[in-house]
Formats: sequence, C-alpha cells, structure tokens
Amino acid sequence: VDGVASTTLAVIRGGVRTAARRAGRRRVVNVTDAERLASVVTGGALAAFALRRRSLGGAMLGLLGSALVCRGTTGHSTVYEAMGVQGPAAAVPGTVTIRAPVEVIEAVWRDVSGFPHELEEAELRCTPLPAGRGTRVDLTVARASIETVTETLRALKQLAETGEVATTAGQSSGRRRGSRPGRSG
Amino acid sequence: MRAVCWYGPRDVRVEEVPDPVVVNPRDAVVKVTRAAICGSDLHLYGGQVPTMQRGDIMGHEFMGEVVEVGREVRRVRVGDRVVVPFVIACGRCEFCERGLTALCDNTNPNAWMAEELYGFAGAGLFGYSHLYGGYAGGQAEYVRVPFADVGALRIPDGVSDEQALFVGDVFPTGYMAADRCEIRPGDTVAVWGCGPVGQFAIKSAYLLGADRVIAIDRFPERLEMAARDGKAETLDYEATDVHEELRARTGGRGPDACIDAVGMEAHGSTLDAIYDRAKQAVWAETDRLHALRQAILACRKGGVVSLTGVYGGFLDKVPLGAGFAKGLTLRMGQTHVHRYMAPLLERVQRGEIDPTFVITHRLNLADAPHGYAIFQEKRDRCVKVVLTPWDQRT
Repeated sequence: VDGVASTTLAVIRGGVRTAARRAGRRRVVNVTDAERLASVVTGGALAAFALRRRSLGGAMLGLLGSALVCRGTTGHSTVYEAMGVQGPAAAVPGTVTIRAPVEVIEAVWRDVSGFPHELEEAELRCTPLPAGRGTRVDLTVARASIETVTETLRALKQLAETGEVATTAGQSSGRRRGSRPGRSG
Repeated sequence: MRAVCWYGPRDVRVEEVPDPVVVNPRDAVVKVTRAAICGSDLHLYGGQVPTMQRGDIMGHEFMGEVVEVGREVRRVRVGDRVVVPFVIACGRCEFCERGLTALCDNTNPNAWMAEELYGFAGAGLFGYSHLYGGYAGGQAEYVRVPFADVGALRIPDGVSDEQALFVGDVFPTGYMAADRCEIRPGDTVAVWGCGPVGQFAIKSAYLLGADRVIAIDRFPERLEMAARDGKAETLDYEATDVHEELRARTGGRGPDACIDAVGMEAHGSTLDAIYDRAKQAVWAETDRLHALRQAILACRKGGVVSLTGVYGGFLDKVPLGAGFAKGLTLRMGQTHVHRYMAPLLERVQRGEIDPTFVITHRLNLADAPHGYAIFQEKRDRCVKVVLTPWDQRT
C-alpha cells in the first residue's frame, strides 16, 4: 500500500466522527475509582438516613443520596462534564484479524494515524497467525470510546485488505432532489 | 435519472434522483438495461425489514452496461455487458477467499448495526436496507457497483439480457438451496414455496441429480409452472395434509431433503400459522415460520433442511426437538452468489436451462409500483416482474 488517497482519509474521518457521535449518546466515565466508591457509600448512607425522616428535608436528602449512588455506579458526573473534567485515562482495547502481512498493516497504520486527535495515544500491536490466517491486530487507545476503537480497526482492516473503505457517502437517493443534472437529461 | 424509491410500507415511487458516480477506486457505474423485482423485495415493500429510510433506491437483481470505472478496476471495461450479483463482496477477506462471499467482512459500511443485532456482520447488499449497508439499488437507470472486478460478470454473446439477469440472484439462490441438500441418485426433494427461487430450486435439484421433486404451494399458477417447466410433482397445501401426503408419496420415509423457499412471511391455514400471524402483528415475533415447521417435521431421518427463504429475527415454536431426534442437518444463509455465477451462466449458454421461464410480467421502470402491487398480492398470475428502464414501450 503506497499512500492512501485523501478521499479515503476523509471517509475514515467521517466514519470515526459517526462512531464518536454514537458513543456520545453513551455516558463516559469521568470519575476516578476511589471517588466512585466514596460516592456510593456516602449516597447510600444519606438515603438510609433520609428514609427515617418523613419530611421535605428528608425527601431532598434522599434524592441527593440516590444521585450520589448513581454517580458512583455509572462513573459519570454531569457536574464534571460541565466543568470539562476528564476522567482517568482508561485504556480502551480492541482487536481484529486482518488477512495481510504485518508490514502492510503497519504501513497503512502509519498513513492513517495522527488523526483524529483521539488516536494520538494509540498503541498498535501486530501478531502473525499460523497457517496463512493473517495477522491479529490489537489496538489500545487511551481515553477513547469503544466505538472509535472498533471503527478505526475496521477502517484499518478494509484498507489493508481491499485498498479502500466501504462507503455509501454521496450516493443518490430520493431524499434530496435536483442537486445535480441527470445523465439522462 | 429515474429510480424506484421506497417511502414506506406499500409505498414505492419512481422519482428523479441524482445520477450515481464512482466514489471508490474499485467502483463502476452500470447503465441498467434489465432489473427484476425479487421476492425478498416484498419484505421491504411490506415494511418487515427495519432500517429502511424514505427515499432509499430499491433493487438488487439487475444487469446492464458498464459506463464508468474507477482507477483500480481491471477486469471489466466501459462498454461491457454485465450481470451483477446482489451481494457486494471485496474478494480479498478470509470469507471471500473461502467462497463465502455473502459473509464478506469488508463491504457493509453499517457493520455495527448488524453486529449489534446478529453478533457479526455479513456483506453489504444492493438496495436492501441500512442494516445491509444502505447501498442504492439497481431498479434505476444507473447504479454504482462497488468492487466491480469481483462482482460484475461479463455476459457472453448469444446469451440475452433476460437470460443473464437471474444469474445475479434467484437462479444461484435456488441452486445453492439444492446444492446444500447433498443430493444423491434416487433422492426425493420437497420444495416449499414455488415463487421464482422455489422454481429455480426445483430445476436445480434435477440438475444436481434428484430423482423426484415435490413442489408445495397454494397458487395454481405457481404449481402449474412447477409442473410444466420444472417437471415437479405438485402438492397444494390448502387441499391436503402436507405431512401425511409427503409420507404417502415417499413410501413412508419422508423426503431426503426439504427446501424452505418461503422464509419469514409464510402463509398457512393451520392453527400455528394463525398464531404466528397474530404474534407478528404485535411484534412479539418477527418471523412466521409455518413452512419451516412443516419441513422439519416432514424430512426423513438424517436428512437435510435447507433454508433459502429469508429469516430476519426471532422465531417461536421451532420444533428443534424433532430436528434433534431425527438427526437433521439444518443449512441456511444468504447466497454466496459469486461462486455460482460463472458456472450457471455457462449452463445457460449451453442451453441446459433458460431462466426466462419464470417471467410473467415485463414492465417499464415507470410502472414499478404496479409491479410491486401485483407481485405482493399475487394478482394477475404474477410470478416474476422484469423492469426495463430504457425501453419506452410499456
């Protein structure tokens, strides 16, 4: 593989963006493990205390307690998100088997790495498999969504095996009308 | 260009849409000269397949002339007359190299959807929902064909457009259904469903050495076609008890192999069929499987049940116990079209089979909505509709 065309890169960027959007709907862990434990314990204690007090104040305490338990169990803090606080750099691993030699895969990876910025802290490891089964590729990315890792590996596999990334970008449909003059005129 | 677009259940329209272009280096653009409406298009038409979007271009059974190629396309050239398989395959992944092109790793841009639903993703298909890649289909004046070198097959002189058309889908689909039955001399094969795929399964079972083929349906015109063109014995499931009749006709042992060419919208007149329809109506079950149940129960011990009709989701009350007790082999899956195309086109060229026998209606592309309606409702003795985008006669 000698050099990947800029159109292909654009397609991958699009794919990774889509993945990131999908991931966006899922809550990202941004609370450290110690804090999560503390949240669950404190929240649980508050809720238990609140249950004994049948008053408005008790109800408020109960709500606060449950919110803390949620924060602890999901690992997501809306306040941290609003403040822009990032969580622990959890390494997200992914793996794929590619029917290509290690050199080809590494060459493609050099061409595509460096973007998006999420992939800067990525580590790629290639292990040749026996009996012509190709290469096992392990990718670990710090602070990325699982979707980003999955779609990046998919694009890498497609480029290494076929030289292009499958896409339907820009194809025709009956959704948009008259954007280009028809061949049939 | 004009194209058949999907707008909702039972709502397809011929619309003016932008022409397709070469996007990737291994793409070609084909000017469509013949496109068929496939029985599986009716699942989209009826709204049973999720992930369709308004404006999606339909059609996965088509052929035509190459008018543009990407820079990496080598085997086909501008001007070639080609038939295109409905499965899009890269030709280089592990599954393509094993000949299992319907399982191609690399052609479904929405692989994540299929992975969430099925665990792993198969190949992208033309015009068959976003779950299968969201590719624009071939019921149009032009179509973009990805991986054209792998798929598009040049049609030899002496084979007409109509004769070649079905080599891209229903002929290999029926053939593979029979191929999976491991037919031996003297075998009897029963085929549920005498739509176009069933008709080709019947023909193929004979081509592969079956002694007898028993065709099961309820529409007289389809049973007539199976008897006249397919030389099959016929069985009307509304007139007889299928299980007892098959036993009687096979000396009490059951058919050696059973082909389900019906799939997830089986119609039936017995209690289990009504139960399925009710559950499907409330989405408690996605697939109706009357034909499959009968096939599993009717098949002889140690036989093969070959599923070629499409299933999409979850099944209820599958008599798996009967299958286990009788040591059946169940085989299923989307057709690996690529590996059958060249040999089947040769059979057509040699005159061993003329696939045009299934065609009952020839319509202009503009009349596609009418074609869908009569095919869906089995009106006007409709078995197979062929659309001609460029022929102005209707």
